[in-house]
Amino acid sequence: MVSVSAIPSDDPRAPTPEPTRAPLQSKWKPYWYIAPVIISAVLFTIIPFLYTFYISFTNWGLFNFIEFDRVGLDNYRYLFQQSGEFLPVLRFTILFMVLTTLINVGFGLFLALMLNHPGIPERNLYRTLLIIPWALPFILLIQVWTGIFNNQGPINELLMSVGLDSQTWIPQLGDSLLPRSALFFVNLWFTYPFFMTVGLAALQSIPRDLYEVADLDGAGTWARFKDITVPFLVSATVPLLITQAAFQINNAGIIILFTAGLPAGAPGASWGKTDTLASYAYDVVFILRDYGLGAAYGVVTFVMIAVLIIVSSITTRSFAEVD
Amino acid sequence: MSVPTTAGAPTAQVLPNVDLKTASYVSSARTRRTVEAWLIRIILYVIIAVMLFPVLYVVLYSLKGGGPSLYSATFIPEVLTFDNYRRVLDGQFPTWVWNSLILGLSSAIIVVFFSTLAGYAFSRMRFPGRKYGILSLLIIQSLPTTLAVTAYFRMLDLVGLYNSRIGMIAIFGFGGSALAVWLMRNFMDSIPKDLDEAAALDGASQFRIFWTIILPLVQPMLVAQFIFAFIGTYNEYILTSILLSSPDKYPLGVGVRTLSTQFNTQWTLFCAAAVLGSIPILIIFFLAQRLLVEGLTKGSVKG
Repeated sequence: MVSVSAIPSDDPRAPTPEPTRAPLQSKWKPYWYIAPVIISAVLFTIIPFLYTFYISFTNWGLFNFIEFDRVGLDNYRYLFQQSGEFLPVLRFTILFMVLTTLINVGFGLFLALMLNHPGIPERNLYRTLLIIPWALPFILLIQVWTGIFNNQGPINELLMSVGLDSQTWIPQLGDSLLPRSALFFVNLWFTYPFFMTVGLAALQSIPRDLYEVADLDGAGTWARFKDITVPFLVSATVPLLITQAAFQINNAGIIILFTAGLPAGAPGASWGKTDTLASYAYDVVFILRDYGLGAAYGVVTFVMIAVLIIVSSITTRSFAEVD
Repeated sequence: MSVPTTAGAPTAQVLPNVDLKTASYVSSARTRRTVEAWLIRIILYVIIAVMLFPVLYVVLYSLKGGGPSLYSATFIPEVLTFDNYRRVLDGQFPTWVWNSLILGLSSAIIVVFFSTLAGYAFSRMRFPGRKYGILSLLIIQSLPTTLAVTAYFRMLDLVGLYNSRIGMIAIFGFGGSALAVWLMRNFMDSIPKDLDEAAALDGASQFRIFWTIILPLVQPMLVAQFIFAFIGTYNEYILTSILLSSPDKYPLGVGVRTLSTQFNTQWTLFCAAAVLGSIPILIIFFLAQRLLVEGLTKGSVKG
């Protein structure tokens, strides 16, 4: 790292005229720097999305593939009023978003707190072992997990070897407790190392003096934890909670590859009890081949995420810009 | 973990000449700490064993011999063999790895280049639109692109890039820069502005400042962004599985899935492919771990 003094400067505190703040800046220059990102965001994100928005007002699909018509709000009307799947899928989307965020962040911080205990000098060894799930490619390991939870997989083998009944972890139909638990666990497995790492970094950035001062004041372990450790952890993780929640709404891949939305919501139903809006939209597009309705699901999902980000960034001010 | 302190701890600090008391306080605190540490270790051992189980499992299964369908055989293999690895390497696996490399490297270069330029503008320049620029980019980025896949299909088809690697690179590289801009901007904000100002006083142009002062200082973030973008593309499934139709263009994730879903008969082959496909990422991650962790925490935890 280059230190500040390496750059010739007489006295940084000397009163310099204001204009140096934006040196030699012409009016259009900044836009040249951001143009590539803006143009590619328009081309590869905004236009596809606007097009999706447009499709959501059409009946494009398997039965109207070559030619399709605008059908106004039909897809949305169907989605909100007639279809039996929207509410249960929405309910699970919210449950999935809230629970995965709390479980993943909570468990990561719990590990960080344990690793930070002063009586464990070999914490780096444990940290390295625990970080491995993060270092492995998701796309391959999610397929390993489907094998592990398979009916003939090692978990059932283990259950049977200790005399318990084997379970159908991802049944085609039936109770949602086991598949949902398995999904939450696998989701946790992929995500906790990040929060453990961030938590540990936050814990180690707490100045030692604070604890010493607290000791002098006669603060007990609990008081020190409550008044020093927790505020530091919270300020480090609140912005991450938002991005994690938004990520989880969007996290259709893990559901599509792990449970495929199963078990089905009802015999013959196209939606499942582990489907979120995003994963169900995928099913609507690629299994039902109703592109219009699938696009409507996409729009609803996007609105949810945008509202979440805007509201939370206003209330926590974590994305606030300072001028 | 939070066993209350033994009574008398504060008094030991206040009263002079209570050597005996202080000593017993210190030693009891030490005992408590040791007991706590061992409790924590036991919990950690259990968690580590559970979390690393899939790794053990996939490695063991990749070495299983004695026939292709061993899905329900015993956990510990009776015959160890590298046969699965040989068969995987003789198959289409090397092509898939190659495709993943091309997709990953190309989109990572685009992401890093674009996000560095834009991050610099957002960090160092003042212009109308800056204030809400990044927030809008973040919202745009959070758009569920997988749901726009029909639109991508139409677009790529229109320009003749359906089922082409270039089309995928465009989507991942050009479409994936917004979050990177935000992380890069936060990282650049942590570099003292005195540096630029001093250089500006010496008459350096804006671009020169960017190129000779800022760029070398953000190197850790450049590497981190590059690896994030690479791994992100490596791990993508939904878009690639739909927008690429011929198996010789599949990236690793999509290709390997053909092994894990074909009637369960290729499970040991899949495990060998999973091990081979994981090793490079594992190595990159641990080589660059410090940079990655620093880049992510510094970029995403403000202040």
